[in-house]
Amino acid sequence: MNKSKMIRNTVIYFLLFVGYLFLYVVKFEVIMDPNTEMEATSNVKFVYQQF
Amino acid sequence: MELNNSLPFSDLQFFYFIGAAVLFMFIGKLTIGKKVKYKWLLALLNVLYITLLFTKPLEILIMITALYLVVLALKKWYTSNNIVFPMLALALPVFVMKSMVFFPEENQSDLVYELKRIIQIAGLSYMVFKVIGLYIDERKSKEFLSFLSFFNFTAFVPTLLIGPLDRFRRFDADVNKGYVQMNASFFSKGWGNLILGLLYKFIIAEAIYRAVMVNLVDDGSVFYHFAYMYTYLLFLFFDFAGYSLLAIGFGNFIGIDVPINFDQPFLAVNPKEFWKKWHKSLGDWLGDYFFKPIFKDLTSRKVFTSITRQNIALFLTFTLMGFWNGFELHYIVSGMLFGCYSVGHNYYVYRCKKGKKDVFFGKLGPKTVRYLSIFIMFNLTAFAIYIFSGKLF
Repeated sequence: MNKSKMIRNTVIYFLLFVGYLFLYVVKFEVIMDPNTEMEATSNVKFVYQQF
Repeated sequence: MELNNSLPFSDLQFFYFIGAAVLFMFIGKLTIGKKVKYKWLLALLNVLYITLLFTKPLEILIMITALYLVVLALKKWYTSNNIVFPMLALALPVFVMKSMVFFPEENQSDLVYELKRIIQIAGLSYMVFKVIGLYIDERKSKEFLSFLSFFNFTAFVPTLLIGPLDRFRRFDADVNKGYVQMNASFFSKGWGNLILGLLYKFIIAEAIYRAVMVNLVDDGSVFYHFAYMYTYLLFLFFDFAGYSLLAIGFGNFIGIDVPINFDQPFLAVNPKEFWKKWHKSLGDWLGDYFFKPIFKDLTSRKVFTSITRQNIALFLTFTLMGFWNGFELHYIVSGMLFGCYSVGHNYYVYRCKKGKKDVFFGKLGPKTVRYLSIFIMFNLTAFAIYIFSGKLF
């Protein structure tokens, strides 16, 4: 594996790990505002559902 | 665990299915691979998904069978070169499905309710587009179109819901290679696509939505609309490109080289290049099955000058794309707007060639022209996608 590919993969896995932690485990909204009530599932809708 | 309620890549259950499907295909290859052909195992996998997890198993199986019979009938009895009638016949289910927007839920009759229940099948538009492409490419072929090949092409799980839009010849060639492409190289490629897709869709798009979009306060100001426009563009890109990468990755795992859908679209310098980079499989499809036939038809009628014929064909193609997205006004206007961009650019190229000079950028250097073009295209795209979002009307 060449150097640039290794750096790219490291960044991808790092972002995946950190993103997962903040979005799905600790939920960053709760850290910013402890009174926030979180839904159990993702808020992201299928914006292309009409297709 | 709730069955018959899992659309591709929409929940954790589907990701368990991916794991089970990959195992199923590899175990099949290693144990019964010499006796059972790849296409049969793939068909079994597609049937298993549809019957166990898909939201409307019976309806989609009936639809695939009906489309197959219509294609066979058209191949056998329709001999004219005019492809408008077959395209309309095959697109009828989508037309009916999109028309349901005119029947609001509160005032609908039992008949409309039943029709809605039957026809509103997730992924129907994509399936019909694939079938139209298949018919146009294969209508003059003497080869018999088997139901197995047709079924695998239309019901292929990774691309069932929203593409990428594949072509029958390309897909069928992959299937006919058998188990050869189920190897370490394809698996590694699939893993790369899957991981990047997860990052795009479930981390970046989700973060944009939760950290920015939900916090934008609609105070009616210009700032709000600009903020929403750019945020929505980025959200849509990461969500849709991520989904496409997941579909490509899953396809790679089981030996199918699903075509790419997004390739750095924000670096496009003009509308033509943009549709080679954004939802590429749809852009190519529209070019081959809408633009070219319309242009050819206008040419055969010997009406207008060549540039006008091109512009009419371009505008109609993108307007049709707008209708395909839905019959709501924002989809249609967004399609027409993309049509205007393409017509404008086509006319600009024509004027530059005719005048042998750049009629817009003048004597600016090529690098400056490139950066300015990228900037203009990005903003034009953001505006058209903003209209598409339905936020304005």
